[in-house]
Amino acid sequence: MLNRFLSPSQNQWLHAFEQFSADEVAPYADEWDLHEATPASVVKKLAHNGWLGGLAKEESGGLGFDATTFGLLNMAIGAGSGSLTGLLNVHSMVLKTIEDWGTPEQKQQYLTPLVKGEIIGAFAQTEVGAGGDSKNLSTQFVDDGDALLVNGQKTWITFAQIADLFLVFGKYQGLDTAVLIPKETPGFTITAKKNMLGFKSAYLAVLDFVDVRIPKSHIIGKPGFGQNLISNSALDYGRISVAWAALGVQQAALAASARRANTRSTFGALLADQGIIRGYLAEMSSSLLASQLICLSATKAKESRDEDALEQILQAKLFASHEAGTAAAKAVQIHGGHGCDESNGVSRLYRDAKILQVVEGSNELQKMLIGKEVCNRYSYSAV
Amino acid sequence: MDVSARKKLVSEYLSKLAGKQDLDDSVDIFETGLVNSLAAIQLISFLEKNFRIKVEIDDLDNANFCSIQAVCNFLERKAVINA
Repeated sequence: MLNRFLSPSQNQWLHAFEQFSADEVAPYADEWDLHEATPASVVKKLAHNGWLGGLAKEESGGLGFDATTFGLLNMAIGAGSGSLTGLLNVHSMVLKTIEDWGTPEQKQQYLTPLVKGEIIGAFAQTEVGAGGDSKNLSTQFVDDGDALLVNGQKTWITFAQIADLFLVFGKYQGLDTAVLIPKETPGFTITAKKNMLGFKSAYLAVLDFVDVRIPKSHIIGKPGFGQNLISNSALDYGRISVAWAALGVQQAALAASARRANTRSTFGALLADQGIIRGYLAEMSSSLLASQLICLSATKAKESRDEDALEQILQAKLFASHEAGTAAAKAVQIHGGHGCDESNGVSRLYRDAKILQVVEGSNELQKMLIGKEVCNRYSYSAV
Repeated sequence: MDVSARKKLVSEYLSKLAGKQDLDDSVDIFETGLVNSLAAIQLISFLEKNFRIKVEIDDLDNANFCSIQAVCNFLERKAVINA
Protein backbone atom coordinates (compact mmCIF):
# COMPACT_ATOMS: atom_id res chain seq x y z
CA MET A 1 0.00 0.00 0.00
CA LEU A 2 2.68 2.39 1.13
CA ASN A 3 4.55 2.03 -2.16
CA ARG A 4 2.27 4.33 -4.11
CA PHE A 5 3.16 7.26 -1.84
CA LEU A 6 6.91 6.77 -2.07
CA SER A 7 9.40 8.23 -4.52
CA PRO A 8 11.29 5.78 -6.78
CA SER A 9 14.34 6.14 -4.57
CA GLN A 10 12.35 5.50 -1.36
CA ASN A 11 10.83 2.43 -2.99
CA GLN A 12 14.27 1.14 -3.89
CA TRP A 13 15.47 1.64 -0.36
CA LEU A 14 12.38 -0.07 1.02
CA HIS A 15 13.03 -3.08 -1.19
CA ALA A 16 16.63 -3.30 0.04
CA PHE A 17 15.58 -2.90 3.70
CA GLU A 18 12.88 -5.55 3.43
CA GLN A 19 15.19 -7.98 1.69
CA PHE A 20 17.80 -7.50 4.42
CA SER A 21 15.22 -7.93 7.18
CA ALA A 22 13.83 -11.10 5.61
CA ASP A 23 17.31 -12.63 5.12
CA GLU A 24 19.32 -11.35 8.06
CA VAL A 25 16.90 -10.39 10.83
CA ALA A 26 13.52 -12.15 10.90
CA PRO A 27 14.84 -15.75 10.84
CA TYR A 28 17.02 -15.13 13.91
CA ALA A 29 14.99 -12.65 15.99
CA ASP A 30 13.44 -15.26 18.30
CA GLU A 31 16.85 -16.72 19.07
CA TRP A 32 18.26 -13.25 19.83
CA ASP A 33 15.26 -12.60 22.05
CA LEU A 34 15.79 -15.79 24.05
CA HIS A 35 19.51 -15.10 24.49
CA GLU A 36 18.91 -11.39 25.21
CA ALA A 37 21.68 -10.51 22.78
CA THR A 38 22.15 -9.18 19.27
CA PRO A 39 25.13 -10.65 17.41
CA ALA A 40 27.90 -8.25 16.42
CA SER A 41 27.67 -9.66 12.89
CA VAL A 42 24.26 -8.12 12.18
CA VAL A 43 25.37 -4.77 13.62
CA LYS A 44 28.40 -4.93 11.32
CA LYS A 45 26.20 -5.69 8.32
CA LEU A 46 23.97 -2.68 9.08
CA ALA A 47 27.11 -0.56 9.37
CA HIS A 48 28.58 -2.03 6.18
CA ASN A 49 25.42 -1.09 4.28
CA GLY A 50 25.80 2.46 5.58
CA TRP A 51 22.43 2.30 7.31
CA LEU A 52 23.71 3.13 10.79
CA GLY A 53 24.77 6.45 9.30
CA GLY A 54 21.84 6.63 6.91
CA LEU A 55 20.39 9.79 8.44
CA ALA A 56 23.69 11.69 8.30
CA LYS A 57 24.11 14.20 5.51
CA GLU A 58 26.16 13.15 2.51
CA GLU A 59 28.84 15.73 3.37
CA SER A 60 29.21 13.94 6.72
CA GLY A 61 29.73 10.66 4.87
CA GLY A 62 26.13 9.49 5.41
CA LEU A 63 23.46 8.46 2.93
CA GLY A 64 21.37 11.59 3.50
CA PHE A 65 18.16 9.67 4.21
CA ASP A 66 15.09 11.82 4.50
CA ALA A 67 12.80 11.21 7.49
CA THR A 68 10.55 8.87 5.50
CA THR A 69 13.44 6.70 4.32
CA PHE A 70 14.69 6.48 7.90
CA GLY A 71 11.14 5.47 8.84
CA LEU A 72 11.09 2.79 6.14
CA LEU A 73 14.33 1.34 7.50
CA ASN A 74 12.81 1.13 10.98
CA MET A 75 9.61 -0.37 9.61
CA ALA A 76 11.39 -3.09 7.65
CA ILE A 77 13.77 -3.96 10.48
CA GLY A 78 10.88 -3.73 12.98
CA ALA A 79 8.95 -6.38 11.07
CA GLY A 80 11.89 -8.69 11.79
CA SER A 81 13.04 -7.56 15.23
CA GLY A 82 11.74 -4.69 17.35
CA SER A 83 14.90 -4.82 19.44
CA LEU A 84 17.13 -4.08 16.47
CA THR A 85 15.20 -0.88 15.74
CA GLY A 86 16.43 0.26 19.17
CA LEU A 87 19.95 0.38 17.74
CA LEU A 88 18.87 2.46 14.73
CA ASN A 89 16.97 4.70 17.11
CA VAL A 90 19.58 5.57 19.73
CA HIS A 91 22.58 5.55 17.40
CA SER A 92 20.83 7.90 14.98
CA MET A 93 19.82 10.27 17.80
CA VAL A 94 23.43 10.62 18.96
CA LEU A 95 24.71 10.97 15.43
CA LYS A 96 22.16 13.64 14.46
CA THR A 97 22.78 15.57 17.69
CA ILE A 98 26.49 15.79 16.95
CA GLU A 99 25.87 16.63 13.30
CA ASP A 100 23.37 19.38 14.16
CA TRP A 101 24.78 20.81 17.38
CA GLY A 102 28.33 19.51 17.79
CA THR A 103 31.42 21.72 17.75
CA PRO A 104 33.90 21.25 14.87
CA GLU A 105 36.13 19.31 17.30
CA GLN A 106 33.29 17.03 18.43
CA LYS A 107 32.36 16.39 14.81
CA GLN A 108 35.92 15.64 13.85
CA GLN A 109 36.39 13.21 16.71
CA TYR A 110 33.08 11.35 16.65
CA LEU A 111 30.92 12.01 13.61
CA THR A 112 32.74 9.94 11.00
CA PRO A 113 33.18 6.86 13.24
CA LEU A 114 29.47 7.06 14.17
CA VAL A 115 28.42 7.42 10.54
CA LYS A 116 30.55 4.44 9.56
CA GLY A 117 29.28 2.45 12.53
CA GLU A 118 32.83 1.99 13.82
CA ILE A 119 31.55 3.20 17.15
CA ILE A 120 28.01 2.92 18.52
CA GLY A 121 26.20 5.81 20.18
CA ALA A 122 23.60 5.58 22.96
CA PHE A 123 21.17 8.15 24.33
CA ALA A 124 21.24 8.36 28.12
CA GLN A 125 18.42 10.42 29.54
CA THR A 126 16.16 8.16 31.59
CA GLU A 127 16.63 7.78 35.35
CA VAL A 128 14.65 5.70 37.83
CA GLY A 129 13.01 8.88 39.10
CA ALA A 130 12.80 10.74 35.80
CA GLY A 131 11.77 9.41 32.43
CA GLY A 132 9.66 11.69 30.30
CA ASP A 133 9.62 14.06 33.29
CA SER A 134 13.14 15.11 32.38
CA LYS A 135 13.07 18.35 34.35
CA ASN A 136 13.71 16.26 37.41
CA LEU A 137 16.96 14.65 36.28
CA SER A 138 19.26 14.09 39.24
CA THR A 139 22.50 13.47 37.32
CA GLN A 140 24.84 16.34 38.19
CA PHE A 141 27.67 17.97 36.27
CA VAL A 142 29.88 20.01 38.64
CA ASP A 143 32.77 22.33 37.76
CA ASP A 144 36.24 20.89 38.24
CA GLY A 145 38.64 23.31 36.53
CA ASP A 146 38.38 22.86 32.78
CA ALA A 147 36.40 19.67 33.32
CA LEU A 148 33.09 18.51 34.73
CA LEU A 149 32.62 15.92 37.44
CA VAL A 150 29.68 13.69 36.59
CA ASN A 151 27.70 11.87 39.27
CA GLY A 152 24.45 10.00 38.78
CA GLN A 153 22.76 6.92 37.42
CA LYS A 154 20.90 6.25 34.19
CA THR A 155 18.77 3.20 33.59
CA TRP A 156 17.05 1.24 30.79
CA ILE A 157 19.53 2.71 28.32
CA THR A 158 19.05 1.00 24.96
CA PHE A 159 22.07 -0.73 23.36
CA ALA A 160 24.24 0.61 26.17
CA GLN A 161 25.91 -2.80 26.64
CA ILE A 162 27.73 -2.42 23.31
CA ALA A 163 27.79 1.37 22.93
CA ASP A 164 31.04 3.33 22.84
CA LEU A 165 29.79 6.90 23.19
CA PHE A 166 26.96 8.16 25.39
CA LEU A 167 24.95 11.36 25.13
CA VAL A 168 24.22 11.96 28.81
CA PHE A 169 21.68 14.45 30.14
CA GLY A 170 21.89 16.13 33.53
CA LYS A 171 22.10 19.41 35.41
CA TYR A 172 24.99 21.86 35.23
CA GLN A 173 24.64 24.89 37.47
CA GLY A 174 20.93 24.11 37.57
CA LEU A 175 20.65 24.13 33.77
CA ASP A 176 19.62 21.17 31.59
CA THR A 177 22.79 20.11 29.83
CA ALA A 178 23.93 17.33 27.50
CA VAL A 179 27.46 15.90 27.58
CA LEU A 180 29.28 13.31 25.47
CA ILE A 181 30.90 10.60 27.61
CA PRO A 182 33.00 7.81 26.06
CA LYS A 183 32.67 4.29 27.46
CA GLU A 184 36.23 4.00 28.73
CA THR A 185 36.10 7.07 30.97
CA PRO A 186 37.24 6.20 34.54
CA GLY A 187 34.40 6.08 37.07
CA PHE A 188 31.84 5.10 34.42
CA THR A 189 30.41 1.58 34.68
CA ILE A 190 27.85 -0.18 32.51
CA THR A 191 25.77 -3.02 33.96
CA ALA A 192 23.55 -5.21 31.78
CA LYS A 193 19.81 -4.99 32.50
CA LYS A 194 18.24 -8.40 31.97
CA ASN A 195 14.74 -9.88 32.06
CA MET A 196 12.87 -6.99 30.53
CA LEU A 197 9.36 -7.62 29.21
CA GLY A 198 10.23 -6.86 25.59
CA PHE A 199 13.05 -5.49 23.45
CA LYS A 200 14.98 -8.30 25.09
CA SER A 201 17.89 -8.24 22.67
CA ALA A 202 18.22 -4.44 22.76
CA TYR A 203 21.14 -4.66 25.21
CA LEU A 204 19.61 -2.45 27.91
CA ALA A 205 21.91 -1.36 30.72
CA VAL A 206 22.26 0.72 33.85
CA LEU A 207 24.95 3.43 33.73
CA ASP A 208 26.70 4.57 36.89
CA PHE A 209 28.81 7.72 37.03
CA VAL A 210 30.97 8.22 40.10
CA ASP A 211 33.16 11.33 39.91
CA VAL A 212 33.55 10.84 36.18
CA ARG A 213 35.83 13.61 34.93
CA ILE A 214 35.01 14.84 31.45
CA PRO A 215 36.40 17.93 29.64
CA LYS A 216 33.96 20.82 29.30
CA SER A 217 34.58 20.63 25.57
CA HIS A 218 32.31 17.56 25.65
CA ILE A 219 29.23 19.66 26.36
CA ILE A 220 26.91 19.57 23.36
CA GLY A 221 25.26 22.83 22.33
CA LYS A 222 25.15 25.03 25.39
CA PRO A 223 24.16 24.51 29.02
CA GLY A 224 20.46 25.25 29.40
CA PHE A 225 19.50 23.72 26.09
CA GLY A 226 19.95 20.08 27.01
CA GLN A 227 16.29 19.32 27.30
CA ASN A 228 14.62 22.10 25.36
CA LEU A 229 16.59 21.67 22.23
CA ILE A 230 19.12 18.87 22.16
CA SER A 231 16.91 16.15 23.60
CA ASN A 232 13.75 17.19 21.81
CA SER A 233 15.35 17.56 18.40
CA ALA A 234 16.97 14.13 18.79
CA LEU A 235 13.71 12.64 20.06
CA ASP A 236 12.02 13.72 16.85
CA TYR A 237 14.02 10.96 15.19
CA GLY A 238 13.56 8.63 18.16
CA ARG A 239 9.80 8.97 17.91
CA ILE A 240 9.89 8.51 14.13
CA SER A 241 11.88 5.34 14.74
CA VAL A 242 9.32 4.04 17.24
CA ALA A 243 6.30 4.99 15.14
CA TRP A 244 7.62 3.29 12.03
CA ALA A 245 8.92 0.28 13.97
CA ALA A 246 5.32 -0.07 15.18
CA LEU A 247 4.28 -0.35 11.53
CA GLY A 248 6.69 -3.25 11.18
CA VAL A 249 5.20 -4.95 14.24
CA GLN A 250 1.70 -4.49 12.85
CA GLN A 251 2.72 -5.90 9.48
CA ALA A 252 4.34 -8.93 11.07
CA ALA A 253 1.32 -9.51 13.34
CA LEU A 254 -1.07 -9.31 10.41
CA ALA A 255 1.02 -11.60 8.19
CA ALA A 256 1.42 -14.21 10.93
CA SER A 257 -2.30 -14.09 11.70
CA ALA A 258 -3.37 -14.44 8.08
CA ARG A 259 -0.99 -17.39 7.60
CA ARG A 260 -2.40 -18.99 10.75
CA ALA A 261 -5.96 -18.40 9.56
CA ASN A 262 -5.18 -20.08 6.25
CA THR A 263 -3.78 -23.23 7.86
CA ARG A 264 -5.55 -23.84 11.16
CA SER A 265 -9.03 -25.36 11.44
CA THR A 266 -11.36 -25.46 14.44
CA PHE A 267 -14.77 -27.11 14.60
CA GLY A 268 -14.32 -28.35 11.05
CA ALA A 269 -13.70 -24.97 9.47
CA LEU A 270 -10.56 -23.02 8.56
CA LEU A 271 -10.06 -19.96 10.76
CA ALA A 272 -10.00 -18.01 7.49
CA ASP A 273 -13.60 -19.03 6.94
CA GLN A 274 -14.78 -18.00 10.37
CA GLY A 275 -16.39 -14.59 10.61
CA ILE A 276 -14.86 -13.58 13.90
CA ILE A 277 -11.33 -14.24 12.66
CA ARG A 278 -11.99 -12.41 9.41
CA GLY A 279 -13.22 -9.54 11.53
CA TYR A 280 -9.97 -9.48 13.49
CA LEU A 281 -7.94 -9.52 10.29
CA ALA A 282 -10.07 -6.73 8.80
CA GLU A 283 -9.53 -4.57 11.90
CA MET A 284 -5.78 -5.24 11.89
CA SER A 285 -5.51 -4.43 8.20
CA SER A 286 -7.50 -1.20 8.56
CA SER A 287 -5.43 -0.12 11.54
CA LEU A 288 -2.24 -0.82 9.61
CA LEU A 289 -3.43 1.35 6.73
CA ALA A 290 -4.36 4.21 9.06
CA SER A 291 -1.03 3.90 10.89
CA GLN A 292 0.91 3.96 7.63
CA LEU A 293 -0.81 7.15 6.57
CA ILE A 294 -0.27 8.95 9.87
CA CYS A 295 3.41 7.97 9.91
CA LEU A 296 3.87 9.03 6.32
CA SER A 297 2.16 12.36 6.96
CA ALA A 298 4.40 12.97 9.98
CA THR A 299 7.67 12.29 8.18
CA LYS A 300 6.60 14.31 5.13
CA ALA A 301 5.81 17.20 7.51
CA LYS A 302 9.25 16.79 9.10
CA GLU A 303 10.91 16.90 5.67
CA SER A 304 9.00 20.07 4.72
CA ARG A 305 9.74 21.60 8.14
CA ASP A 306 6.03 22.21 8.55
CA GLU A 307 5.04 23.98 11.74
CA ASP A 308 2.95 21.06 12.92
CA ALA A 309 5.64 18.45 12.19
CA LEU A 310 6.44 17.92 15.84
CA GLU A 311 2.81 17.43 16.80
CA GLN A 312 2.30 15.05 13.89
CA ILE A 313 5.30 12.98 14.98
CA LEU A 314 3.92 12.76 18.52
CA GLN A 315 0.58 11.65 17.10
CA ALA A 316 2.18 9.08 14.80
CA LYS A 317 4.13 7.61 17.73
CA LEU A 318 1.02 7.51 19.91
CA PHE A 319 -1.28 6.06 17.28
CA ALA A 320 1.02 3.54 15.59
CA SER A 321 2.36 2.09 18.85
CA HIS A 322 -1.15 1.82 20.29
CA GLU A 323 -2.35 0.02 17.17
CA ALA A 324 0.72 -2.23 17.25
CA GLY A 325 -0.28 -3.32 20.74
CA THR A 326 -3.82 -4.04 19.64
CA ALA A 327 -2.71 -5.92 16.52
CA ALA A 328 -0.16 -8.01 18.41
CA ALA A 329 -2.78 -8.90 21.05
CA LYS A 330 -5.13 -10.11 18.30
CA ALA A 331 -2.30 -12.10 16.73
CA VAL A 332 -1.66 -13.85 20.04
CA GLN A 333 -5.39 -14.58 20.37
CA ILE A 334 -5.57 -16.04 16.86
CA HIS A 335 -2.55 -18.24 17.62
CA GLY A 336 -3.99 -19.48 20.91
CA GLY A 337 -1.50 -21.41 23.06
CA HIS A 338 1.21 -21.11 20.40
CA GLY A 339 0.93 -17.36 20.62
CA CYS A 340 1.55 -17.55 24.37
CA ASP A 341 4.79 -19.50 23.97
CA GLU A 342 7.74 -17.23 24.78
CA SER A 343 9.80 -18.71 21.97
CA ASN A 344 7.15 -17.89 19.41
CA GLY A 345 7.60 -14.75 17.31
CA VAL A 346 4.01 -13.71 17.92
CA SER A 347 4.64 -13.53 21.65
CA ARG A 348 7.70 -11.38 20.93
CA LEU A 349 5.62 -8.99 18.83
CA TYR A 350 3.17 -8.64 21.71
CA ARG A 351 5.93 -7.93 24.24
CA ASP A 352 7.82 -5.55 21.94
CA ALA A 353 4.63 -3.64 21.06
CA LYS A 354 4.14 -2.83 24.74
CA ILE A 355 7.67 -1.42 24.91
CA LEU A 356 6.92 0.82 21.91
CA GLN A 357 4.09 2.36 23.94
CA VAL A 358 6.46 3.17 26.81
CA VAL A 359 9.72 4.36 25.20
CA GLU A 360 10.62 7.80 23.79
CA GLY A 361 7.99 9.38 26.01
CA SER A 362 5.20 7.12 27.25
CA ASN A 363 1.96 7.36 25.35
CA GLU A 364 0.48 9.19 28.33
CA LEU A 365 3.19 11.83 27.91
CA GLN A 366 2.45 12.02 24.16
CA LYS A 367 -1.20 12.67 25.03
CA MET A 368 -0.28 15.43 27.49
CA LEU A 369 1.89 17.16 24.89
CA ILE A 370 -0.58 16.73 22.03
CA GLY A 371 -3.48 17.82 24.24
CA LYS A 372 -1.62 21.01 25.13
CA GLU A 373 -1.00 21.75 21.45
CA VAL A 374 -4.69 21.22 20.71
CA CYS A 375 -5.72 23.56 23.53
CA ASN A 376 -3.31 26.23 22.31
CA ARG A 377 -4.60 25.91 18.77
CA TYR A 378 -8.22 26.43 19.70
CA SER A 379 -7.46 29.10 22.26
CA TYR A 380 -5.77 31.09 19.52
CA SER A 381 -8.25 30.47 16.72
CA ALA A 382 -11.11 31.70 18.92
CA VAL A 383 -9.97 35.28 18.24
CA MET B 1 10.64 41.69 4.97
CA ASP B 2 10.51 44.96 6.89
CA VAL B 3 10.78 45.23 10.65
CA SER B 4 7.06 45.58 11.32
CA ALA B 5 6.08 42.64 9.09
CA ARG B 6 8.73 40.56 10.82
CA LYS B 7 7.40 41.52 14.20
CA LYS B 8 3.82 40.71 13.20
CA LEU B 9 4.82 37.23 12.04
CA VAL B 10 6.85 36.55 15.19
CA SER B 11 4.08 37.90 17.41
CA GLU B 12 1.45 35.69 15.74
CA TYR B 13 3.61 32.61 15.97
CA LEU B 14 4.67 33.05 19.59
CA SER B 15 1.08 33.83 20.60
CA LYS B 16 -0.02 30.60 18.95
CA LEU B 17 2.82 28.68 20.57
CA ALA B 18 1.93 30.07 23.98
CA GLY B 19 -1.82 29.66 23.41
CA LYS B 20 -2.32 33.23 24.54
CA GLN B 21 -4.02 36.00 22.63
CA ASP B 22 -2.50 39.47 22.85
CA LEU B 23 0.80 38.16 24.17
CA ASP B 24 2.80 41.10 25.47
CA ASP B 25 6.04 41.79 23.58
CA SER B 26 8.19 41.53 26.66
CA VAL B 27 6.62 38.52 28.41
CA ASP B 28 9.15 35.71 28.97
CA ILE B 29 7.34 32.66 27.60
CA PHE B 30 9.76 30.22 29.25
CA GLU B 31 9.88 31.88 32.64
CA THR B 32 6.10 32.17 32.83
CA GLY B 33 5.63 28.53 31.84
CA LEU B 34 3.45 29.47 28.86
CA VAL B 35 5.25 26.99 26.62
CA ASN B 36 6.39 23.42 27.20
CA SER B 37 9.79 21.94 26.54
CA LEU B 38 8.97 21.30 22.89
CA ALA B 39 8.57 25.00 22.15
CA ALA B 40 12.23 25.79 21.63
CA ILE B 41 12.65 23.31 18.81
CA GLN B 42 9.41 24.42 17.17
CA LEU B 43 10.41 28.05 17.47
CA ILE B 44 13.86 27.48 15.99
CA SER B 45 12.39 25.52 13.06
CA PHE B 46 9.91 28.33 12.49
CA LEU B 47 12.62 31.01 12.51
CA GLU B 48 14.97 29.06 10.25
CA LYS B 49 12.24 28.30 7.74
CA ASN B 50 10.52 31.68 7.63
CA PHE B 51 13.50 34.00 7.95
CA ARG B 52 16.09 31.93 6.11
CA ILE B 53 18.59 32.02 8.91
CA LYS B 54 20.60 29.27 10.52
CA VAL B 55 20.50 29.13 14.30
CA GLU B 56 24.08 28.36 15.37
CA ILE B 57 25.46 27.06 18.64
CA ASP B 58 26.51 30.58 19.66
CA ASP B 59 22.90 31.71 19.24
CA LEU B 60 21.69 29.24 21.86
CA ASP B 61 20.80 31.63 24.61
CA ASN B 62 17.37 31.96 26.22
CA ALA B 63 17.79 35.71 25.90
CA ASN B 64 17.41 35.29 22.12
CA PHE B 65 14.14 33.35 22.24
CA CYS B 66 12.28 34.16 25.43
CA SER B 67 9.87 36.85 24.20
CA ILE B 68 8.50 38.48 21.06
CA GLN B 69 10.86 41.40 21.51
CA ALA B 70 13.83 39.12 22.16
CA VAL B 71 13.17 37.12 18.99
CA CYS B 72 12.78 40.30 16.92
CA ASN B 73 16.04 41.69 18.26
CA PHE B 74 17.73 38.37 17.52
CA LEU B 75 16.40 38.35 13.93
CA GLU B 76 17.58 41.87 13.43
CA ARG B 77 21.09 40.96 14.56
CA LYS B 78 21.10 37.88 12.32
CA ALA B 79 19.83 39.92 9.35
CA VAL B 80 22.55 42.50 9.87
CA ILE B 81 25.17 39.80 10.10
CA ASN B 82 23.86 37.99 7.03
CA ALA B 83 23.41 41.18 4.98
